[in-house]
Amino acid sequence: MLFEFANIFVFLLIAIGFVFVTLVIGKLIRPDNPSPAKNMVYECGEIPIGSGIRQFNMRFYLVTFVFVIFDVEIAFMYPVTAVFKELINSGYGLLAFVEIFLFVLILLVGFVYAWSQGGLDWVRDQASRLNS
Amino acid sequence: MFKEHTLNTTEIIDLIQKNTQIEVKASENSYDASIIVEPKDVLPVMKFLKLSRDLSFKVLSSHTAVHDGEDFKLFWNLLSYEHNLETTIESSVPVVSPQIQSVCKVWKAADWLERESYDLFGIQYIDHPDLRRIMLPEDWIGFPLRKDYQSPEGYQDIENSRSEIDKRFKP
Amino acid sequence: MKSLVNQVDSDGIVLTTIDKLLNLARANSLFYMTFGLACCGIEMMQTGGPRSDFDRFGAIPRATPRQSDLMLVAGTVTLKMASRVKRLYDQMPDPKYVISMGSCSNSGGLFQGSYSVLKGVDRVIPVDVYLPGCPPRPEALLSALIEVQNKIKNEKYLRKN
Repeated sequence: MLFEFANIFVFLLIAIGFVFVTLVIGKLIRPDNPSPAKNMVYECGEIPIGSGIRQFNMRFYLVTFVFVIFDVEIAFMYPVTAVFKELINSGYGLLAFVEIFLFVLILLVGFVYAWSQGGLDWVRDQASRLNS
Repeated sequence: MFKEHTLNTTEIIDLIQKNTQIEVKASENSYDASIIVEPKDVLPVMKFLKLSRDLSFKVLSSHTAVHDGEDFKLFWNLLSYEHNLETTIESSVPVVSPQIQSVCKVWKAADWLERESYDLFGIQYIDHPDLRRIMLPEDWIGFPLRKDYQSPEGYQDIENSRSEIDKRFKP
Repeated sequence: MKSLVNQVDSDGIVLTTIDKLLNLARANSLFYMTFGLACCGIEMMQTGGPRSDFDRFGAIPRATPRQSDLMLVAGTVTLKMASRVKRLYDQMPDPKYVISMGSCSNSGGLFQGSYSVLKGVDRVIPVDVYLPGCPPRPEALLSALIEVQNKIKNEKYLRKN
């Protein structure tokens, strides 16, 4: 039993060795002549202005989160709707419906909360942000 | 909404003269009738054309210029969807001092159109919010669509003179 | 660790074989940078489509210079664009090749009398293959690619030039 783990160990060694060998070969047979233009940040040929590392508005994340939640919701709902007729035939129709309904309800409560707190307003003035 | 009869150029001219007391005339070119306006009267005439109930030219579909001898001829193409009308306003400014009132306050669309004719002809629009070059690089010298413009031999550090084959070519 | 490219003096059979192998690998995996500037760009997309199928030569479109080793300048290069073309060429990793596709890119073509058009992309970057046509047919672009492949296959890679 324990001996069979040796397979994994050999695989691990080969994988590490493969990465190492390919990197070394690549290092040996590729030309290496860096220049300021080559090391520049790629901005479709434009000269980049300022640093790439800077602060983004938190609102982007908030809206993205709300989007992802509903994206996942659709991803979960779709398979259920696809087999809903079969579920009804096998007697699980009501159960599946209630499950999905609860699922959507929980998400909807969160959505209403985010909406009521002004999470979806793209432009908010300083005063209302301090209050919320 | 669709009316069979639409106003023609002379009727539009009558409306302008009756309401604004500004002297305008029709162009002699009968092929594509346009209304000739003095450059100092352009802004009030445009305001009238947009705000008038009978005309309501709410769309500025294009604005362009032509270098014609001593003058730049300026054209504004206007559309009125409500009254199924279209017309062309024409004006001209001298090449030596090409200055005219901007119509950006009347139509927002005029912003980039005026920047374009500033870019290519060097026409100065008074009271334009942001009169910069729009298509050519910011450090470009000269206004290319003027008749007396000489093509540059290069730009920045790029050499762009004509090739030997091109120089030998006689059209 | 020092790179071996163009370092080795010997012209022995081992090195020529290794060179041949490396060049074979490079020639058949030319990732080209999509540089559709005008109507030639449409023809370039057409060449990537199923009928002429650029991919069967190992040429895969990349939208970034970092991953590409062939630049396909397809279309009219204006003076405003020329400095960008130069910068993107500089940002490509060596070894790099350029196909100048179409008359406009070769010489300014139809627009060479214009004030804002660069009279040939070879004024800013070195060109390997000039492809005439306005625009060239997909077959012509395929033959230009094969020309680049032939050029790569005949290069000395590890050996000194």
